[in-house]
Amino acid sequence: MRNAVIARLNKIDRSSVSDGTVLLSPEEWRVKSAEVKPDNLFIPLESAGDYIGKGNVNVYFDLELYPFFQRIKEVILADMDSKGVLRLRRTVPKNGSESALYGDLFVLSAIAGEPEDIHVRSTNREIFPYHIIVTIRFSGGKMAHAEYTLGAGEERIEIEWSGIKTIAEFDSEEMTPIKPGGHSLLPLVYGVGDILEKSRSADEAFYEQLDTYKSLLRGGGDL
Amino acid sequence: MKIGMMSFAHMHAYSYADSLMKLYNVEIAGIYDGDEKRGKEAAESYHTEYYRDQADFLAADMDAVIICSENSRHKEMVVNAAKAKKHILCEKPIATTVEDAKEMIAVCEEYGVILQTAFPVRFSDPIMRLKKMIDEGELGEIMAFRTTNRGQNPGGWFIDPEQSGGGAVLDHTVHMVDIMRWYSGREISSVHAIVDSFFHDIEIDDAGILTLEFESGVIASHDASWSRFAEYPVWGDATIEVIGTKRTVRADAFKEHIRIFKSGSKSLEHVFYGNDMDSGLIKDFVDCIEKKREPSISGYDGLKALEAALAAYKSSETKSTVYL
Repeated sequence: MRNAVIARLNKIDRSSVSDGTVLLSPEEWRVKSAEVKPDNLFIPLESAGDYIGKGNVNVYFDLELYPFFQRIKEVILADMDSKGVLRLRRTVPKNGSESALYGDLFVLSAIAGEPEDIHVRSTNREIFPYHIIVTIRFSGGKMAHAEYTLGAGEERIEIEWSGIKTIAEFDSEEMTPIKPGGHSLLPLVYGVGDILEKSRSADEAFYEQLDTYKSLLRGGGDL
Repeated sequence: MKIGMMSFAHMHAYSYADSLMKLYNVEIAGIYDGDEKRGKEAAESYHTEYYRDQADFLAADMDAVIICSENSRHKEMVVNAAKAKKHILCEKPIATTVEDAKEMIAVCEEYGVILQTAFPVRFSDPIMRLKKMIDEGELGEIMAFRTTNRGQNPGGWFIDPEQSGGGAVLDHTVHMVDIMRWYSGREISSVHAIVDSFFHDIEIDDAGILTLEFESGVIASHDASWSRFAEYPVWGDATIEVIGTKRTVRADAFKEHIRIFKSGSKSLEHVFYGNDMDSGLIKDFVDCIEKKREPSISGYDGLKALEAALAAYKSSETKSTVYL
């Protein structure tokens, strides 16, 4: 079985690429798609719109691939019934994509419950940096602020969970194992194995769910 | 200068009294407290006279009072002190309703006394440094704020809705709303919030997330809670991040610390070594009275911060955005 993984190559731990899997940048895929002919294709969320109705396509969300997120997820899931406050903050470079908003909603819903109410506020998107605040009330009683600053510098992710007698904190700038920065994208890299394991099949149900989340976010205000 | 203390119900009273004791030109003229035991102990500790009766206290020779009562008694004490011609520093939140706050401001104006709201975070060195950077244009135009004020559940009257007027959202929203108004020079135009009780088995809110919009289009998030427990390395935080067109800068009023690791239930502790913001507030209040100048943090500032915090409750109850 031949897998093709489309990804920003600087985000991937190259040592994680195994036999039977081809790793390609979006640019390489555009050129080589006809000759690669994979049995299964794995694409990032921002490309999902190009594959509606096509078979053997799987979509991944970067947030749930990061090792740090796996640990945070374990903490939150350790007490599924507990309430608490989840705060996610992304700083996205100017050439970055807003698709993380939808992907993050998929990922956060999987650990916090279905979003019941969403409120969105944004500054003027024609002026960089711009900032988006998404407020989410989940069905289980958890609440979240997800915030995105686009065009304010290097990629950075911060996540905080304030639960009952449990607080978990992560900041990619603080927890970087190599300083000064610039020598490594760690900890904002992930492995191909996680992409293969955690991607969702891009079937009809997936696109329906994606549309639902897009509608919720658009209905929430400024999107 | 003679300054009296009205109630030690709020724990800040001790810090304010300590700050007064350090000033060579100030004398604590007396302490009024409805709780006789607490009042007498404080009077003994600060070597001053205890007053059981509020009228007797206000009739005494003093220039100003510092009010640190339960929130629900701020109005009564401010009005009485103003009528007795005492300048006033009132602990935050200024009141429990907007109507009370307006009345307090009006009475102080009528009797010609200063009404200052106790927002000590304005006197934190990192918070002041960031204000200077903004004023000097280092950040460019402000686009958004991100703020937090999380701490421990203070218990006692704070968790009694009748006496406090609100829980963590009231207690921990007003500080950072004041800082955002101060930094931007703008008023808040709308508030959206989710308020809930998560962390303690209490009848009052202990968590809230707010999204604020200013009249200029600046947006802000705020996280207010009593989510920190005793074993957490630090009491809590008061942070602000300012996203500007030129730069994004963060300030944390409690960041200056050393880390101490010990074997025990609280294995890590952050020991603060930053400046004493309560002392800064008290010095400013005394200076304001001496120079007969306008207070740096007015009753109106207290009112506007209260208005935003109360709007958060309304927004959460109605599940809608509240426009101010």
